[in-house]
Amino acid sequence: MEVQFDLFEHLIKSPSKEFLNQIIYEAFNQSQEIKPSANFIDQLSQSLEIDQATSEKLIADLARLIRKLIFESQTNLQQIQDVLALSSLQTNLKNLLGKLLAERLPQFRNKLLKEEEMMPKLLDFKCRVDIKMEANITDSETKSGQQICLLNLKTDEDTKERIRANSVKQPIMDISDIIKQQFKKRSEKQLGLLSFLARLYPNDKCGSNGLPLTPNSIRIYGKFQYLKTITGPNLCQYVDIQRGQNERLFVLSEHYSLNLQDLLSDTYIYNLIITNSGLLLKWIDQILKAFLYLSDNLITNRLVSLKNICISAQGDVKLANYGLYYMSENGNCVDFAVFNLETLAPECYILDFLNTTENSHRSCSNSELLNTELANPKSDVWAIGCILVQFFFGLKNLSLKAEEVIEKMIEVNDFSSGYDFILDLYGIDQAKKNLVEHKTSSIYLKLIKKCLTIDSAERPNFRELTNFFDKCLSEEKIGAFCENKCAGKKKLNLFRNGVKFCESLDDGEEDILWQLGVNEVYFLWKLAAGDCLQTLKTNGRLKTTLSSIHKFSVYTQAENGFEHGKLIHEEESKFNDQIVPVSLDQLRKRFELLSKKIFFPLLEFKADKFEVENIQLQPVNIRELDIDYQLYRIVLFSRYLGAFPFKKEELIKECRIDIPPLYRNLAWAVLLEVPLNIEDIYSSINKEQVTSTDRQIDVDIPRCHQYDPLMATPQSHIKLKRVLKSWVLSNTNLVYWQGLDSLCAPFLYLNFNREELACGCLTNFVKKYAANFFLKDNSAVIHEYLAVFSHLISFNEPELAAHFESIDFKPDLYAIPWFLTMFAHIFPLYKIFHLWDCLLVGSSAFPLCIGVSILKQLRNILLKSDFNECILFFSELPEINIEKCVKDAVNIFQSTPESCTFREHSGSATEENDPLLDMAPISLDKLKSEMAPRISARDVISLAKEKTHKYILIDVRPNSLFSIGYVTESKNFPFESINFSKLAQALNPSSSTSDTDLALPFFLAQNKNAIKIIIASQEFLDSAIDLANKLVKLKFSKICVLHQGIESLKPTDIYIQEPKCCVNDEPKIENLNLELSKQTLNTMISGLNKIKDQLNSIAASQ
Amino acid sequence: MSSQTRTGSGGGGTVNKTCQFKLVLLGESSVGKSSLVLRFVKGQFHEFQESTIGAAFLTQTIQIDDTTVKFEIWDTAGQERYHSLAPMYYRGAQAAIVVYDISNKETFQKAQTWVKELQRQASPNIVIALAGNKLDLANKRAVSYDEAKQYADEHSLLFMETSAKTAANVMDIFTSIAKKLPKTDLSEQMSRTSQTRSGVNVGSANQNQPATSGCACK
Repeated sequence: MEVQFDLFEHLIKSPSKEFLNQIIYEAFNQSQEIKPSANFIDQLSQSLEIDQATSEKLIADLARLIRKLIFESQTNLQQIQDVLALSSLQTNLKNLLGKLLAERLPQFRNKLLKEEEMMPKLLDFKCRVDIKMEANITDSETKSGQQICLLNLKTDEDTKERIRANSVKQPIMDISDIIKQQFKKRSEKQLGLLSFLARLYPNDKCGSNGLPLTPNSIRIYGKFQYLKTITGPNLCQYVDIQRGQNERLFVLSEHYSLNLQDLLSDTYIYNLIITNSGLLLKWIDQILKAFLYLSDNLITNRLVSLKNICISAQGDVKLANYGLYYMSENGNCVDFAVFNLETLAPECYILDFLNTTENSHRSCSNSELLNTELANPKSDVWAIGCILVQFFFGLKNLSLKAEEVIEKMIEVNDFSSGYDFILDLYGIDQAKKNLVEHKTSSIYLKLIKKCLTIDSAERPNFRELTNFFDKCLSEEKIGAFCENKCAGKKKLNLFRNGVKFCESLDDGEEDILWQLGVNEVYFLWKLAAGDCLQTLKTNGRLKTTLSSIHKFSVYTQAENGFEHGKLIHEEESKFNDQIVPVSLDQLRKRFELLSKKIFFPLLEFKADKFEVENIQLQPVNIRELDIDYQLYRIVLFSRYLGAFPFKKEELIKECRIDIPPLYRNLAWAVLLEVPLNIEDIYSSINKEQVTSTDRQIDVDIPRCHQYDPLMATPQSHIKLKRVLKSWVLSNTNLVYWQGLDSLCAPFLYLNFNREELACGCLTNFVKKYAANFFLKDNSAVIHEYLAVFSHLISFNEPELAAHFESIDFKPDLYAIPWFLTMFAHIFPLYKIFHLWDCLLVGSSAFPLCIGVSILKQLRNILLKSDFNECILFFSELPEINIEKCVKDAVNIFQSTPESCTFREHSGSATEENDPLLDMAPISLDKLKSEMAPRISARDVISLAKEKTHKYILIDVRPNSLFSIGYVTESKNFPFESINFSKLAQALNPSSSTSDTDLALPFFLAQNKNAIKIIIASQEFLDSAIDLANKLVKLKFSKICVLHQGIESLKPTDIYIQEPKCCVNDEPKIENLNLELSKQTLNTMISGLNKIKDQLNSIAASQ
Repeated sequence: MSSQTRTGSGGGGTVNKTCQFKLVLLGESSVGKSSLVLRFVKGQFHEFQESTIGAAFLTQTIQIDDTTVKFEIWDTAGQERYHSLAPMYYRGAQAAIVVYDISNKETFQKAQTWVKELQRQASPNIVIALAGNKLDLANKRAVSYDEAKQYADEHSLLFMETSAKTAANVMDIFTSIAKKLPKTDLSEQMSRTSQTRSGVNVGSANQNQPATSGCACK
């Protein structure tokens, strides 16, 4: 900014020092865009003998100088003179001007500090490169994104406070600093724990459907889930609910120990606050915002008290403990009163007292009527009026007795206003009233009086109250201030609200722990052996021991048929509204030991990865319990998920390693390619529409995974029904089969508050893994699936296949529920999660491998069992080790050529299949009659070329054909020459064998673990199949038959055509036999003896 | 549980025979088929018995006079869609229990369709019992005892109202079936069984022969 000094020459003509001062002042105003008056310009032009335009220019130049000096903080004499020295002004004028400016500038600067919105002062900055995504919801294909550099500027926070305070022309005071100083520890963000007991039902009470009543703790558990979605402004977020013994519940939430009650108790702080109108306005505004959000989300608080209005370290309101009334179904699921006596609205007194004192006697219909009355959020408006009275009148230890309140309540209509009534109730005399009213701004009094409208019909709701408050503010010429940070920052992302990751390096959070979201911290706290009951005990809130007398009385009462354990809980422990802070110190210490890098992984550079190789060798169960590892996974996944759909490939790669439980729902949605606009799709389905399957769904849901408390909740039943109906309505070619409920349950469990994701996952899961299973007539699909399953058993577990064959035990008898529900019907949820983690990264053939893997795990028992025992065994599946099961399944998957799992009805789009090289459907009967799978020519070629697996090729065509042409490395055992009785006998010690008969078994024994491909021409295909069946029965593994016969390989380069002249020569295979010297014969016999021994030992073990 | 029916076995020098019967349960879903079996086989009751997919198999042995009767029980899925699987379970069965829920009229109608189908397509000598389950919900009864009894009589079915939850009549209905089954003519039973079973998908035929020939009617 260049300053022109030329015109300053005219100042020499200034009549007096005062006039010069005035010029400077006007120039300062000019710099603030306040034009000097026309009068002054006239005066100036006359005094300095210049024209008006020059005067204006002079003022403008001077203004520029002042602004420059203030901006550059050059406000002392020396600095000013240095600047002026650049000019060619007379020395006298320079000195005078310098002196005058030096006198006035500090004043100007302070004035600016007070009045102006200034650029916050930059204290520090950090930067990192990150990927920001802009997924377009309406167009899932649009993938626009860019790598951007995130600059984090740490600014002088005080400025904001100052601006706020200034808007009501109050002296500047930064309350958040004071709070930080005074309540350092207490205003920190924490996890809070609230514990209470649900109401017990009499022991054997049943509902009208004959089923036992849902325990109240389960009802609360279900109702609570919705509260997790309440993430409004100025609210402590709910995190989780846990069920303890004896209907005890633990509710965990974000928490701050500092609350308005505390501030009230500290006279010094209280006086600072009560006179800081900017702060008060901010807080009241935030309280109203919080309550407005709650009422918009249909939650009535009822536990309004100064104690439940917490203050964060940033000096913001955080409302706590607002969900108890909601989660306890308006207090019906608990035995204590869910209200605050001091702030209870008049219309609630009578109703609530009826509710709590005589709850055991009230009739059902009556209570429902009461509920709708009671849940009216207008009672919270009254309560806000009450706490404001308490706050402004400084009422610290208000302790009212229920009887007194009731007595007063009867007279409520005698009072001219609710305000007077409350003052009377709180025992405030006229003198105090006058005193407080005198020093309290009329805005607050208006607000309080509005809240305390006795008649609930006339009382405003929160929307009206907020509008009223805004109107008051504008009347008082106080503009709207501090817009909430959270508003308008909605991510258009499939995973909106799903993950919290540190977008900024510091969001006002110095604490390394809170670089993570509250859900993430809670998850890790649990891993760090965080225990709710223990937390209560260490806070002295639970009696850990019972006196023996107590125990005795419990015992004897139980004997008499009284409720068990009734006496264990003393009345006061049923509910204590004090939220206990959960100790996060251990976790924090652990975090501090870790490199900060863990929070900001560089996704592009592999070298930067956390050292995980060792831990990734551990079983999944152990990995899921490792805090450091989970932290690493959480941060990594939150980054990938946050960037979705970019980095999708990398994300899937990580999913193959393992999936952190915290983000399993989102990871699954990614793996299943749930469309980005699933929310729109889901909401467009009319889930109330009556369908023919409603009854079936209704009877199935109350039996679906009911051992799990979440699945047993009424909410879960409603949601499961909605998701299933949506599936039925949106998959019109498919129908509901029993079992679909089980299939859906894991998805709903993981996405309890996001039904659309559950539905999207279910739809795509069925498409990929259970394609066509839910057709109206699915028998062809299922039978083909089971036939292929049989083949895989033969291929991988021939002993079992042979045994099952001998007792005629078919997969149809046991495996339908396995595959129809992808094992969801036979395993508990926690096992399904691990199983599906792996299944979802596999192909549609992977479930078959899981099936074989389960059989493999049970092999020894199954081999000893007859038909009845086998089938009984599957009726109650014994404990299966999922880790091992998954591992085996992967091995099975890898060792089985892809074409062996070919299915006509697999639903996968048939790409351009080569009629010769690839598989083609074969009839179901034929499929069932064959024991071994078929292999495609393409797979044979890739085996021959890539040598990924050991394999042998057995050509069963007659010698004459083989000698004309054959496949490389194939050996010819003409079908006719195979002596099957000898083949069996060859394994029998007592029989004598000739050399030729031994060739095949020896060859097979030599290549025990190789894939054994039987080749024939189309003409002899039946012989190949016959041989395959026989070999499977003889318990040879990895037998398969070339699907289209040798013809399919003829055009390829692994087929060797012999020169025509050789036709009359000895066939090659006979040469092989003739070449058998005595030595090789000996080795063969010893090899055979080994097989013999093995078979004997197997026979013995049976 | 089963001790009530163990009357007069052994002891008096009577020859103890063992007979094996295939029994199938049919009926609308959630009428309590699986619960009845669970009560009969294990004496247990689960409030939230999971739905049956495809079919489940259980066995239980009871003593009728001097005969040991072994039931092979096929508990089928109730949903209408699984109907196509049903024939493979009831074909070759010597006994069937058709179950309905006394608090639900529709399930009684469904039971009648099952009876019709069995009488038309199952073995001609099949013993059919009709069980009106959920007797514990008598206060919500939608099907009267007399109505069901009359229907059972007209179609010569065994009839009992049962409750898997309270165990009422559960043992009795299985015992009554066992008593009504022809135990005297076992050779004929066996041959008939193997004949009818030979065409069945479910492979209980082969394994039965060695098992029963070994221990039947000693």
